[in-house]
Amino acid sequence: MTCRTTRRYLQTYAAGELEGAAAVRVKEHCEQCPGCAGELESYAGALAALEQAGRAQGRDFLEPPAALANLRLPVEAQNGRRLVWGAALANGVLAAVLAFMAFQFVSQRPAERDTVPAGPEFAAVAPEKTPEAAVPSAGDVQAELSHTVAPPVQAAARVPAKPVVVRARRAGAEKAVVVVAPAGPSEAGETLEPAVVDVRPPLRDEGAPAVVVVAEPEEEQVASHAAMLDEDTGDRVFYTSVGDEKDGSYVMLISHADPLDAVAAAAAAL
Amino acid sequence: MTGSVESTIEGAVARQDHDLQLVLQARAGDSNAFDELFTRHRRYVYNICHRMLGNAEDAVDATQAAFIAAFKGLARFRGEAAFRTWMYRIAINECNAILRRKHRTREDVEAAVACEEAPVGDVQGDDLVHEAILRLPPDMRAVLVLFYYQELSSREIAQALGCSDGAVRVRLHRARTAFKKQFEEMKP
Repeated sequence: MTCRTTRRYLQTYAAGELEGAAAVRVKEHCEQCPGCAGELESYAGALAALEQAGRAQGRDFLEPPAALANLRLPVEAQNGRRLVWGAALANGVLAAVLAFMAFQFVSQRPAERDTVPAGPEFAAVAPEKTPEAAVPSAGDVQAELSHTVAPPVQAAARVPAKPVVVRARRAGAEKAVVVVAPAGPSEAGETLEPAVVDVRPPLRDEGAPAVVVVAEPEEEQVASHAAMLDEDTGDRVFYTSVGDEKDGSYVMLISHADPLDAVAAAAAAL
Repeated sequence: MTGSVESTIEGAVARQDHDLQLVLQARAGDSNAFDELFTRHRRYVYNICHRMLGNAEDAVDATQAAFIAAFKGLARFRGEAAFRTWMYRIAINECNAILRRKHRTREDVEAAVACEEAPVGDVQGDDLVHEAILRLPPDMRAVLVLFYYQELSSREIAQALGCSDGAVRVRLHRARTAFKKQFEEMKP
């Protein structure tokens, strides 16, 4: 394992979230490389301090000052509430109409549940749609992509020169982000067909073929590379983010196989 | 599963059920019910605000504003996340609003410069960690505070921040990297 690859794993390894062959390779590399060993020690120290501070807060919870003993709701909020409910209580028909409208609102707009109160100050973290609602079917995505790229082919033994991010919109849903390996000659000189190598949200749950990431992003594009345990299944899942959220080029590769391993395996197979 | 774990889970479920009941009562105009929600959760909300903002005065303001916003927007809470998680989300929004407002004022610019130039050699241990967190951008602060101080799972953080589980993991990864850099620079 090279220093470059090792450093991508160091934080995950220091956090105790890397296991298996990758963890062994990191350990072996750090035993022989003082530079990476120092970086690992630096990560371990910082994360241990964070955990220690978090545990201390568990024991020494900050007590709110006396100024926060009572909630002082603004007068208009209290009056407004009294007014609305006073009118509703005085008029049973109005109450029934309001209840019906509320029901209609809820049943027609499920994606807006549990939203934070509206206002410009809440725009920074506007809620995303639920993952369930956002997951497009394989057919939907392929239909949207059909005019852009050829149908995906199994690409386990090919190394594309560079991944390309395509954004596809499914009717009535949010964007699906698809990473496509472009057509063209590979490093080994063979002709490649365009292939879908990753889709976000993942289609795995809908019976689609397992996503295989065969393209290693450009070094400067890699924002993070982490392996973490899925809280539901206990499976190890790799998250590799590429690009920048701010300029819209951000995409996250999610896979059960380590994308860096997949690249190495694909390269070895050629 | 051990008995203690079961009782912990049962306790958490009971607390959430009670919160939901209080929300329904508050929606029906019972101001005492909202007062009880405030009493039950103000410590947690205050703590996260304090970690985000770094001082008691702003934390009190943010906590007050968060509960007032929650009161006004109570109709939007439908119990799909825990009430406390929903409150965290509102509280973080309020903290971000305060940070933005302060950032725009001259006073804060001067304070920020002074803060950056302040010697940190005498800050140690947990205080050093807090200082390092406060020097990170608000989105990184939020994910570290929720993960390490509030001990929320990535799924709960996703609910609190209004983003996907995967986005939380990536944000946490970036925040740890930024924290480590800051921590290293500040260490005596």
